[in-house]
Amino acid sequence: MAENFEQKLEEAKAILQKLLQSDMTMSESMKAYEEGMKALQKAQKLLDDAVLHVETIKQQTTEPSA
Amino acid sequence: MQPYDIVYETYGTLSEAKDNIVVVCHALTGSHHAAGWYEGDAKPGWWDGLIGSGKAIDTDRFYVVCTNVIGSCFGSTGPMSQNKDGEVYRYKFPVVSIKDMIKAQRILFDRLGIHRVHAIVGGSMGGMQALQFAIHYPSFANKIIAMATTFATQPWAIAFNKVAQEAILTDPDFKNGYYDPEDIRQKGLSGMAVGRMAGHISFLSHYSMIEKFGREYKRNDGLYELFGKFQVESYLEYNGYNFTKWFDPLAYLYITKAINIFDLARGFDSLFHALAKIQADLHLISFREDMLFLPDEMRKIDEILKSQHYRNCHHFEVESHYGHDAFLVEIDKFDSYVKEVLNG
Repeated sequence: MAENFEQKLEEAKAILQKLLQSDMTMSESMKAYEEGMKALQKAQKLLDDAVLHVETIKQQTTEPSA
Repeated sequence: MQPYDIVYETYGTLSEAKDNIVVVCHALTGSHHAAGWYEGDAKPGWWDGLIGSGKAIDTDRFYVVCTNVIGSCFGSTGPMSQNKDGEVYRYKFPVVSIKDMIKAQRILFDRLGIHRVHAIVGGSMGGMQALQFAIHYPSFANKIIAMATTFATQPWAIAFNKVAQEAILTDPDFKNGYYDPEDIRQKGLSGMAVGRMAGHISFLSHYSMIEKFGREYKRNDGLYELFGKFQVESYLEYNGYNFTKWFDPLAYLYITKAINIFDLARGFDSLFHALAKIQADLHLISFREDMLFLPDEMRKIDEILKSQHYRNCHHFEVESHYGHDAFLVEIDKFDSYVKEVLNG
């Protein structure tokens, strides 16, 4: 299934919640941190792609032609 | 052709004396929707920058009429319309000329009680119509403003049209003209897309492409990815394929045919004799890097009229690198000229 922005954000949020729990070990929290950053990066990429798509459409449709 | 429909749009208010009418003529893929917004549309009419309240063609002052040409696909009778027996014309639709387009408009105007207008303004194929009006109905308009156009379509322009026509005709999905238009609107027609890409090249210029795209590469594509794209490629692809969703291929064949056979001198001994018919105040606006219709072609009209000691012809060459489409895009470079002509 294609990954979507909202899912990735939810994933990152869930991991943040986990990190806030004080009963995690150092190595567990490092792993969670890594996973969370990955999810955020993926979300950022999806967002960049969406912005690029909007920019492209805007650039290509604003000018009329003969 | 049997009785035909012409769809048109008007802007502004008709004066009691009916002396404030400005006719606007559209280009190859234009329509009667020249200005203003339709609800839900991403962009306004094709000359919205020029037509409107306080703009060069000021709708507070003028009553603007724009019709969709016959042969087109936005509501006026064209190859995909039905004849009186309910059959779709397709190839039975007659070849129409620019002269036919303006005759059809003139008949409509007569029906609307419009027998004389203040001005006719058009660019590209719209400019051809404006010039044809000037010669065929010399006393119909006081002023003619023809932009980015020619006295007769030259082989360079015909060649670009040929690429589009051939690409459409050889596309299996065109089904030799017996396609289902709904299919094409949904799935597109790659032949027409390719043809339209060629058209877009002719509408721009070497310089405007550098300004618009440079060597920019699509941000998320790899340079060594075989199908990674330069911005210019992405532009052509997007506009080419998108075009097939809103324009009809048979209409494209018929209208490009009308453009190809356009020659003001047809029916006269020469261009000199044709131009001698003109009585209106004629304004020619050309764009320096227009390679579809060269400024030289407009200059030739001016020179012939000058040789006839015709005083009411003016040629304004716009300093523009944009190319042919400058008449639609760089409105700020000529709108004050148009305003002055119309208000003068």
